[in-house]
Amino acid sequence: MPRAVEEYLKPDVVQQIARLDLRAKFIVKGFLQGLHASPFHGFSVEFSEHRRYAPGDDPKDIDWLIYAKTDKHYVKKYEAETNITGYLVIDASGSMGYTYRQQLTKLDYSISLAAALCWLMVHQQDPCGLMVFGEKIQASLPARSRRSQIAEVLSLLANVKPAGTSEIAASLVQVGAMLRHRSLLMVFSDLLAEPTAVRDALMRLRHRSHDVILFHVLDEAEVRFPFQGMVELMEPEAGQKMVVDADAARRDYVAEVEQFRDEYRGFCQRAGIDYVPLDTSMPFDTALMEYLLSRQGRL
Amino acid sequence: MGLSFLNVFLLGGMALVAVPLVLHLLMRRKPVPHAFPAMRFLLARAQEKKRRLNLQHLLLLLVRMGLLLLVASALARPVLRGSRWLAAGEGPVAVACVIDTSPRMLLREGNRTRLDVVSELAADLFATLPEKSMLAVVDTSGSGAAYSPSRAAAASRIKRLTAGPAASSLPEAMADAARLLESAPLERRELYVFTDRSQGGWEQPVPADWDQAHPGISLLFVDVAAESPQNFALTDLQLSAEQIAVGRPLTVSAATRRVGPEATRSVAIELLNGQGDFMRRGEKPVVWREGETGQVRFDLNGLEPGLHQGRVVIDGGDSMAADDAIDFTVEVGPSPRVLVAAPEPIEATGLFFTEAVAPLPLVKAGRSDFTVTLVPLADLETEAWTEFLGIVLLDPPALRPGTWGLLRQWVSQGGGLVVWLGPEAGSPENFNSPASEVVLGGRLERVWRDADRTNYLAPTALDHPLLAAFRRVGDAVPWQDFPVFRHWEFQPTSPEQQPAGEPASPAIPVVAYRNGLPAVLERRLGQGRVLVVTTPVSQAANDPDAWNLVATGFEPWPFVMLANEMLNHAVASQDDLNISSGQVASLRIGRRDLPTATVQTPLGDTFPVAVDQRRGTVKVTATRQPGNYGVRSGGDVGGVARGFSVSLPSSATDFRRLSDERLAAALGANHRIVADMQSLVRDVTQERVGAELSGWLLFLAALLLVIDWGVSNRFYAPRHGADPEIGAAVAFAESLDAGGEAASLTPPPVPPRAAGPALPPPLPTDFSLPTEPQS
Repeated sequence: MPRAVEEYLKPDVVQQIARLDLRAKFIVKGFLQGLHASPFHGFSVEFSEHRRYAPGDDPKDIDWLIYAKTDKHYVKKYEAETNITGYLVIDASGSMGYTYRQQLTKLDYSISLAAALCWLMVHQQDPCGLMVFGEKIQASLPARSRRSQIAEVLSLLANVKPAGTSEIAASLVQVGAMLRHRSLLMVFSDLLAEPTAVRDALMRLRHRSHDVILFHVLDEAEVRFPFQGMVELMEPEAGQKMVVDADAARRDYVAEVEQFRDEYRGFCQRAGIDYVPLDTSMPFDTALMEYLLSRQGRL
Repeated sequence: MGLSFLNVFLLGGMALVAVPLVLHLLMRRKPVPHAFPAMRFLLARAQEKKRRLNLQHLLLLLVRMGLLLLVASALARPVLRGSRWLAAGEGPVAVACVIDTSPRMLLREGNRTRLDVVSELAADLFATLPEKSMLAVVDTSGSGAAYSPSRAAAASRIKRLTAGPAASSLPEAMADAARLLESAPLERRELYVFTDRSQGGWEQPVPADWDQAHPGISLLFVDVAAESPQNFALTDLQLSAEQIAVGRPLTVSAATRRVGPEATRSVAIELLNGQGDFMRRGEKPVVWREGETGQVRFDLNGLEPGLHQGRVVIDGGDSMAADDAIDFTVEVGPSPRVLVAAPEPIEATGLFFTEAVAPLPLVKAGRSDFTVTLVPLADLETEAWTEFLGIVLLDPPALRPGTWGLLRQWVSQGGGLVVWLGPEAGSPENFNSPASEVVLGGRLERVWRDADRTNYLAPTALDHPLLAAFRRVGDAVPWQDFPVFRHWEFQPTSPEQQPAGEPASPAIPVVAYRNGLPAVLERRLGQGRVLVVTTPVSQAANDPDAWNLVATGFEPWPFVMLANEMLNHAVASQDDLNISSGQVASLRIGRRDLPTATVQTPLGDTFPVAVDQRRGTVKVTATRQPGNYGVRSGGDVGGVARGFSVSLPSSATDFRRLSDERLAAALGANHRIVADMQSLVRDVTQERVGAELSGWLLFLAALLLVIDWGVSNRFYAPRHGADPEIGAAVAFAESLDAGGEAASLTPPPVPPRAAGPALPPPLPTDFSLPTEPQS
């Protein structure tokens, strides 16, 4: 029985594609394949609409077929003409390298998603940049829209390794300081840091008129707490250990996580930030759809 | 209460309680280590969870240990007994039965006395005893405690028990029985106390530490009281005097007490005649009211000189005969002769006293209580003192030591000396001497003066026999109308300073002044008494130096009463004519040439007693039987005939039941008491055989099992609410069995991160990538 297209957007399937460029292409293609009935037709850099020719327009954009039919000059309008500068901001701290039983770590998941978004943006003629941070900004690529940018971004992403502690707030402040123009920041992080400082940093980004999509990536185990019996948990960044009865603690843990997400969701709603809670078991289309919705809203 | 086990060796199973403990400690699950970055979400409630987890584990551990403990205990068949460890079923037992044999136990109900009931209950009790048990019967007659040779002998002894005045109280008899039991070689010891729960029986309570003092003895009280007794009772017989002068009336009174509905019953007074028969001298109808105490009084006149014995008796019988009559003895003779020595002029100084104790009209009529001889103090030694029963010294001066010595000798032989001290004593230095101190029991210190006339005689307690007559008057005596301006301060000799020789008691204040100093003091000296008054009654009212108005105030009737009572008390016979059961009767024979006397008991028996020829007295100790006793010595002709009466103490016939509160106070809060045959046998059986507790323990074990099941299911139940998609582990397990959709959740082995490129899965046939837009 053939699989549905959506099956190919699951992380465990995507994980089997080792090459990141292929993985990104695979994700995007699969995603677009599933958008038959979606309102997002005409995306990409294809023809979007016609308008009357005006002096100063590039003559090569004149649609001669329309001219032949109507004897009037119309030019094709492409989506790529309304460019958005996007930056993929990826948290590469040690906690992002965690997974319990999924195929992709939080960082893998974020990289795959970021690669797909990069592929999608570049193919829409949107400049796309990259910033990787841990305790501070570790690597960055300025936003460009040329096709070679995909290779550069993917090359850099392929070499990102999770390490160290996370200073999300400080890194976001640093990101804001590095950007001079209004941009779309797509932040990938597990947000396992002091929420108040992170929120302040996000507010500062918004204050600089940046659009922000906050991809809150948690491991599936961090969301569902599937452990059983007595477990000894160790926090990888601080090395803190703790013995708990997983069965007894599950209810309270899940409630705490939900509360944590709700607090971020409420904050983001008030701040005009798109908040996308994800876990590593979720298909990628959720994130992509969120991006597209956000993009459409900004055009 | 005691606990024993029929299968003691199975108690070793209790060691199994260590199993859960060992499992808990050694087999504790080791936690599986996991890396987990989101620990911050756990930390908020981590401590609370940890405490709850520990508590749950501890609770389960305790429940399981308790379960094993109960099962092991139940298998060992525990038996609850009243006391003592019994390792092997019914063994011989040492039993002592303490039986109250006071006259109360003769109370009849249903034609059975309390002793009959005791006999029946004891027979049933003996039937429950194991073979080779040791039996002892201890009663309150003081007959000693010893084991009976056989069960039949013990039962026979109980049947032969007769009621009589108690020689020992129930607690004393219990102590005797406890000592006997503790000497028994048997391990189990049981003490049964048969009692009527009466107020009279438990005037002396059981010591509070009885159980601690006798830890090896099981104590059970057996109630043999009557359900609804009825009785007429006479108690507390009072005589106006035991020795009265010829021609003086004798007043006899007794208290009446009724238990039961109101009734009318006559009370009579009877005197014994020469043939030993009671002759009725008076009879009065009495209305006996439920729970009320009344008085019945008789006046007997014209009694001939000599010994008179009689009784106050209720007409007709009732359910208890012991309190239907009270016997008494009285002696009628010439009025006692008293020598009164006063300062000159004796007609003036001795007037008040002689008129108080022997008023002239009564003397002329021959009805005076005393025959008074008034002499000057200077002639005191010229009189033959042996003819007088009393000597009164009114305001004596300092006597020479020889006179004090004679007085000491005379008092020691039974005389009564009354000394009214006054101004003639002079200074204390002159008056005091060792000889005077021996007689008076103290020394003069100084004269107290009270110028504002606020001092007077002020008796506080009227319980001294000397003040008995004042009890009827109570607070109505106007002592304040007879002020005392001066009096001697008298310092009694301390007991350590008492001279050796004749037995003497220290001088004790009987009446005090308002200022607290003693006014009247009494002491015993040999067989006689000495009374000292620290203010005189020999001064005229118009004497400006009068020390008081005691005898010269307006209508000085208190002085008259006091003078008579003091003299009566001083010259009163030392004979015990009316005593309580069990007391020693001491009688003066009056002759020192008789070696023995014969005592005739109320039952007609006679027994000899020795006469104390030095003192001329006889003592009778066998006085348990109430009634009239006769004492004869020297034969019927020319001999001496005396007598005395023995009555029961009121407690001996007071069978009113104690309330539960007072009974608990008397017997101890944890006392066990049974009232009927079934209760007695059941208690004895439970005490000796015990009640098996296995069933209860198994029930508790089952209960704990249910609790364990419930608790463990509650503690370790899967938290469906906390797991959004049921347990991942459950799904994982299902996927292993079924494959299919759930397999998509199966976590495959994590490939190495550095693995080479893997091929993508084959794309579906109906899936084609859209072509890229061509620019």
